[in-house]
Amino acid sequence: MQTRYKINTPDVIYENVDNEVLIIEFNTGNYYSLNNSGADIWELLAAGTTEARIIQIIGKKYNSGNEEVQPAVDNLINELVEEKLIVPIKTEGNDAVNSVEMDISPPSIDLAFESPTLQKFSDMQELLLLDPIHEVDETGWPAPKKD
Amino acid sequence: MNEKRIDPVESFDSFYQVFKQAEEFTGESQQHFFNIAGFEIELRFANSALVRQITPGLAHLKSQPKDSPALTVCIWDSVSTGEQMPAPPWSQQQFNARGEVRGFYNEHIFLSFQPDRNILNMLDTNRNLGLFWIRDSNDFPPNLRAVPLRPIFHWWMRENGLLFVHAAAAGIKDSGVLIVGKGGSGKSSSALACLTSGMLYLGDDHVLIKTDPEPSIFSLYSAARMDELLLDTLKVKSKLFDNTRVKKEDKALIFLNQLVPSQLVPGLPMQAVIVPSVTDKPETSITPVSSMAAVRALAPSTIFMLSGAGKKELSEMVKIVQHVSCFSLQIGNNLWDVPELILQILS
Repeated sequence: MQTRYKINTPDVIYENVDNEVLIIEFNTGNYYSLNNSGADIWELLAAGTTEARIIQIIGKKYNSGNEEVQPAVDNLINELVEEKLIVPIKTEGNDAVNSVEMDISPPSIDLAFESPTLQKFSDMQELLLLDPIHEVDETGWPAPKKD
Repeated sequence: MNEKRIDPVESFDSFYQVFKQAEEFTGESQQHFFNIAGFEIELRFANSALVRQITPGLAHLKSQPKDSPALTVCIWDSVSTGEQMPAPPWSQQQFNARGEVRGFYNEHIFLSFQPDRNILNMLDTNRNLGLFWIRDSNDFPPNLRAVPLRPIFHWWMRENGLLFVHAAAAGIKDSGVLIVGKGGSGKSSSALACLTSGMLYLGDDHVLIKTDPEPSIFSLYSAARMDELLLDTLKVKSKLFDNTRVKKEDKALIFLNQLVPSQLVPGLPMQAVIVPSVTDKPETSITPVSSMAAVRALAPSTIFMLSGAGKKELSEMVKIVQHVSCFSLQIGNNLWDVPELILQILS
């Protein structure tokens, strides 16, 4: 629970637009979307916040208990690691890592907690498919395709 | 893995030297000038072999010769000029599907190589000098005639405040819409329907955009590609494409400046972003959507398509989209509803 993570750059880039995060992964050609609590968790992860602290911050923001928030955060983190969007940071001792303190103003009834969903899109993968490499000629350049 | 160490400057200079030798050997050098987004661009050909392949797509932006162009691109092939390239400075395992070469990094020199086509694009932003080489001009891919020099234009425009995007665009005087979406979303159909209805046109698949001083769209390519279904649909409305033919399961490549030059404009202010989708509903409708919906339709295909595109391009796209209104366009059975709805937004 004290694990910190970082965004798996340079293979992963992202932008946050109106509390929705668009994530692009270059190796697979997949792109992803996270909103609301998912976007909050992503930004906290990007800032190096520990998992335990994330659970605390999200619980406070959405006025929700540990029993609901913790499994949701765990699941999302596992999913992000599995998709290679984030990687654990190796820390030594008590290295201080700046983390983002999100707005924890008094909870609003409008901010009901919903388990974050990582939307995955794979429709661009074909753009990253590479044609089979051909043999090279005597100069080292690929040999032209034979009809 | 046999990975070679590459010196970008050395590579660039060695290839540029080959171009100069080719130019001198043929004695048939040609220069063609274009004004793209307000920049004077010179295309310098070692001979005539690639002129017919590359210039038609840019013909609507042709301009008078200038002494000091903003960018010069040197263009040649080895077969017609007789000048062979030195051995490539990279191994086969070092490049990826976007044409990027691992181990090749320099802040001002960019490279893209397509091994299946033997096409090399390079740019030196310090010298504002680009290189385009193909082994044999006879192997120039027909589809590339629609989007010549794409990597070079992407890199150079990025350095000069413009973003090359996978999008279509159309509009009226002083007001345009950016139409975004992956292939099959109705992006090109929408832009061509607008053109056929008499609206101004900037592109069906690739355009340039920028934020400062105001959100704007600029035309780059005049070509449009359409399949049989779209062509038949457009022919119902207009005689423009009466002489256009397309084979089954193929797409026709049409240079629109040859048909409707007065409707092809160099640029327009951007008023809105449209995210089309094809539906089986009878009616076509348009509704506001979030900026993120527009970014999600625009960014992935743009970034995956362009060699070297990444965080910078993504951030710029977000910035531009947030400056304008965004709409979802659900295209129904009648494509001709599209221009009408877009005109309503623009007016």
